Amino acid sequence: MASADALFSPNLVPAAVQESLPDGLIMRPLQRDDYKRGHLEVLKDLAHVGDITESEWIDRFDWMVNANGSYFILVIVDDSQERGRIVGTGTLIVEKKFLFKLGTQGHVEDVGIIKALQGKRLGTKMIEALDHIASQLGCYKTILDCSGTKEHFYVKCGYEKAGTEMHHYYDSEAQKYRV
Amino acid sequence: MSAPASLFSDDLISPEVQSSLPEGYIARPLQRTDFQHGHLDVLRDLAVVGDITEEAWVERYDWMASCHGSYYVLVFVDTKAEPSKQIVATGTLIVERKFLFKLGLQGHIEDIAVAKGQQGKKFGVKLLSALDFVADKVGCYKNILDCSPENTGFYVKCSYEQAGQEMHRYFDAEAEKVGV
Repeated sequence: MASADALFSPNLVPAAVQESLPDGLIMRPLQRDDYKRGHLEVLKDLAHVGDITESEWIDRFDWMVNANGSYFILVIVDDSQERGRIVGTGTLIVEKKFLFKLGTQGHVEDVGIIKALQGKRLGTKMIEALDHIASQLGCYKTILDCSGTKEHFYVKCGYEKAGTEMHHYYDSEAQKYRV
Repeated sequence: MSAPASLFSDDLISPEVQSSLPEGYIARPLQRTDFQHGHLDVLRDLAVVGDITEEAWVERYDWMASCHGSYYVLVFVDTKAEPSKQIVATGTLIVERKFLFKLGLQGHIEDIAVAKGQQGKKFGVKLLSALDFVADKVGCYKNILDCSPENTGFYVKCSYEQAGQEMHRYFDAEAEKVGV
């Protein structure tokens, strides 16, 4: 089965957020050829990425396409160049539970905007868009984890403090890089 | 093709946890018939569950099974109890696939619940240990979970450490009201 070019339907991207972006920037679902547009470069500002070939990247993309509507990765693209360059990314994972009447919970992960474009509210717009998608898909709530220094940012995005994140590493390299 | 009878392979059950359980108790993957064994009643001690028919429960189970190694719901069973009350603990590991860290896998622990009346058997600690075993075996580089500040001591005993701040945003008024 051929994989879709877009990870999910562009109809889920909120028009209001799209229209609020500065000229030359668009927001859309991750696409199958986005390795070439520097998707991993944005993630490198966020955490250790390591060496990933284009073929491996595409395998991961294809896996996500086939994951029963669980993965929603939005990117912000600088369309002013011919091919387009990815300048921001954010992930919403949609978890289906048994509790709360077989409820659906959103998890926001791996939100990053390239350093050069920080401070222009692109992060806020990314969260707003991911929240819109979560709400559209019937999530009763969305959770995320952040460092203490980022709390204030998420409060401005409409989040509130909920609890404590705990972790347990299995991989010593991951622990070394604090991934 | 119908869904499997068991949500994942028995090979992923920690032998150490299995042998540490009291006589008559076993650890195993969630099974397709577990609505009948009281799975939801254990969750009711944790959070609002609501009215869920067996058909709807099975549909959710089948969906999880079709997610190719994303959902690992593990239960403890009191084999000597009457069938509708056999499940005494449940916990979920969700295996998230990432792009970062070399296409790494991150585990999320969710919905840990132990039935009232089963306190004092260290089921919470053993359940975490069993889920951690699964996460390690399937290749997760780490597990994360969220808990209330008063429970951090319990998770430290389970070899977790404080990592950051959980934030949330509700979209459903009823969910917000009951604090699910």
